Amino acid sequence: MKEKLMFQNAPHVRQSESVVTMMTDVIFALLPIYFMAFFYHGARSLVLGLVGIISCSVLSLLGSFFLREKPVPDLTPIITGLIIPLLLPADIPYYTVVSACAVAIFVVKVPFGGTGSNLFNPAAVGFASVAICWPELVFRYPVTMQAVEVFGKSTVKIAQSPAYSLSLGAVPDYNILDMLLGTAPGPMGATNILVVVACGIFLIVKKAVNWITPVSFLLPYSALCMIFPRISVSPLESLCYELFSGAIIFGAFFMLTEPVTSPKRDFGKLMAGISAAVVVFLFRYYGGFEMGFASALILMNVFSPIFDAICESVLHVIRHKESISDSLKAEMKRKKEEKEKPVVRPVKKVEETEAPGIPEETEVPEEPVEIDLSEEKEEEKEAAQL
Amino acid sequence: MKAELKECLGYIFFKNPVLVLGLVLGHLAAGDINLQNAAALSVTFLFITVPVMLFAATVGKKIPSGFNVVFYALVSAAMLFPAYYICKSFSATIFDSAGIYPALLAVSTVPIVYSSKIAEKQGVAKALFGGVCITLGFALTAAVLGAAREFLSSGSLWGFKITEAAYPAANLPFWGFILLGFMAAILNWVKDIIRKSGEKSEEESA
Amino acid sequence: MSYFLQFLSMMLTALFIENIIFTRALGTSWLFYLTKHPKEIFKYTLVLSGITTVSGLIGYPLRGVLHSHEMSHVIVPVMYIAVLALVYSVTYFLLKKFLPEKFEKIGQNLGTAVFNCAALGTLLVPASARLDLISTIGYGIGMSLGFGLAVIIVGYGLTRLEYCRVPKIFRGVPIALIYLGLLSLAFYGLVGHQLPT
Repeated sequence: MKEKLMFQNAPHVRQSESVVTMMTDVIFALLPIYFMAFFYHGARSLVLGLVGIISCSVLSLLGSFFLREKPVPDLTPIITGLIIPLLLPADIPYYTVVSACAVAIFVVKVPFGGTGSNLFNPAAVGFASVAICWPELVFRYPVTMQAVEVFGKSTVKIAQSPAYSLSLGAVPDYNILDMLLGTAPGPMGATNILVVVACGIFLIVKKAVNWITPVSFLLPYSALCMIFPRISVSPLESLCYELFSGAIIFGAFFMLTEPVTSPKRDFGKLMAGISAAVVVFLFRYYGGFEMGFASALILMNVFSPIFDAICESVLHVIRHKESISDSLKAEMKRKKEEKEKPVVRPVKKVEETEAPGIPEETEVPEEPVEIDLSEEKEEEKEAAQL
Repeated sequence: MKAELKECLGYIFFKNPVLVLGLVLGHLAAGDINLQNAAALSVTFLFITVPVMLFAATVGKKIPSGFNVVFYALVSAAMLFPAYYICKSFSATIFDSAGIYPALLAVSTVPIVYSSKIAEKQGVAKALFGGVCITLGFALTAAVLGAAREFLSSGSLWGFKITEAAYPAANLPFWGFILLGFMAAILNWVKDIIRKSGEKSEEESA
Repeated sequence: MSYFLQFLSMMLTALFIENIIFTRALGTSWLFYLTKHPKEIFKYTLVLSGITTVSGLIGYPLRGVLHSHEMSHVIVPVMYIAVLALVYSVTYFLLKKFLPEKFEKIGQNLGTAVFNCAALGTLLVPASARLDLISTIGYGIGMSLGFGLAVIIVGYGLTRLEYCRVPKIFRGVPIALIYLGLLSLAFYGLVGHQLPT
């Protein structure tokens, strides 16, 4: 009788949390934000969320179908579908949400291998793609406390967000209290700062996200905003305006903390948070769009594995039994001994070095895919077909 | 004849210079934003590739290996002039509106490296045939990509308006890379299907 | 001092904001080659900076004369290719005569290192933008350094891709292109508009 052995990748430690429980916590955290969006902009905000969820779920199933893979029953498409509309204005046409979800699933997730293999944050890429494609729709917002029509053209008054005023070097027309309570125009889910922070704290308490990432991002970013203000106000006012606009706090809790694309070690998260603060600061100050957080996050996703690698090297050195100075001395002694050894010089061979340009086919398929076009085998094939 | 046709189809699809070998990607990703640009790039590619490969197959192999690149680059550069005149005969602006990308084809991988690595070792007929087939593969890819991007970004084809623009950002370089990636994936998928059907027919006949 | 600041600002613009790979898609063949041979990145970036600086200096006075011609779209690139041929020939002779050991190492790839889209693009972009001499040199060096930076970023990402469960049809060229496209999307967020060609 064959024994069935269960093969599983590390880690082998079991815990009560799973992908599904983590994602459920995130969904619960997003619900109050959607409630506030409904309070300020009416039922359309909820319909946008629904459109996002349905689009991402259906597209994710389609992706699994095309790749002939069994669909994984996790909730990550739902999270992506909920986050994307929250970065957009409440009167955005529905097709933009569908387009953003299509990019998030078919460009960011499916080609890289689905959940757990994506190298970039899907919501950030989806949002960035529609922001670049339709900036005239994405970067103007309906005023709050007026219900936006669920279908048809919106008749609600449109206004620019405080982030736009900051990008021009002007003091926003809205006071800090408006921005804190969410009555200033802006992305649907990123304006009510108090609720966003409360939901973020909920996620940290439930251990769905690690506190190090948002804190290590927000603190340096706040310092930079106070030291280098874009507008002529006190450092504290500058901090409030910069922090409460541009979906910074929402992004810090809900996007920067995405488990697949963020570093795994705490020290790596710390380095990533600080680096993200600098990059987001530069993108907001010098970038082409008023909301540079998404583009900055996409760039930071590239460096996440580098932070993990640095972290592993540092930990390896710390945990190593010999002290650093002892190992350096041993290395120097070894090199000295190698230099003193008599060197036998081999005969030089001139090797043909590879030049760029005509690479071997870079694909590495499991089975060879090439079609044999040689004349020699043609006769054999014809014979086989007969 | 059948072998030549198979080889030509190989260069066009299964050894496509852009989608399989990964050459001249930048010209298509950033420069091929509409059908007119695709035409300008394809004509320039033809006028550069075929003469340089013929030159490599005849005279190039006699030039010392360090200097053959110089001659290939100068021949490519010289062939920009007839390419320009031919493009101008279609339309006064298509060469100019494609920017620096047609001119950059003169120093792309195909005339510079392909000629020295492959065409020098071939006869004149094979080099000519190879040059034409590679050009066909490039032109087909450029046409499909250019048409798709023009239709999505402005709802037109060859400047003639058909419908409203569906996706204005399609003519940006990053969408060029992404669309090329998907085209290459579709080609891989087709190759996989053909290979599997070939294996199936071999099994059945066996 | 103002010349230095002008040089520095053009260099930083070309290095980050108008990166040669991510915003102009030039030199992708060398990009994929260098990602497989990372030890040559520094050498190649140095060669590219040197070649474009020298060629830029030689071609600058000629460019001013040729820009006014109606066929400037063709004549200026041809002129720069001729200048690259001259620079390559002189470099080839000098290396072979005075540094034979170095010549043995890099001589075979020198031709493709000089005659490629990245090198010619680094000369043509400032030419088509009609930049002055200081800006041209700064832009050229910035583009060369930006190329090196792009290779490092893309190389690291392609290594990371080997650990992903990439579907069979996307392996190789397709996923590399999609990855490059997503990085280009991030850099576009910094630029904010389509760059002129």
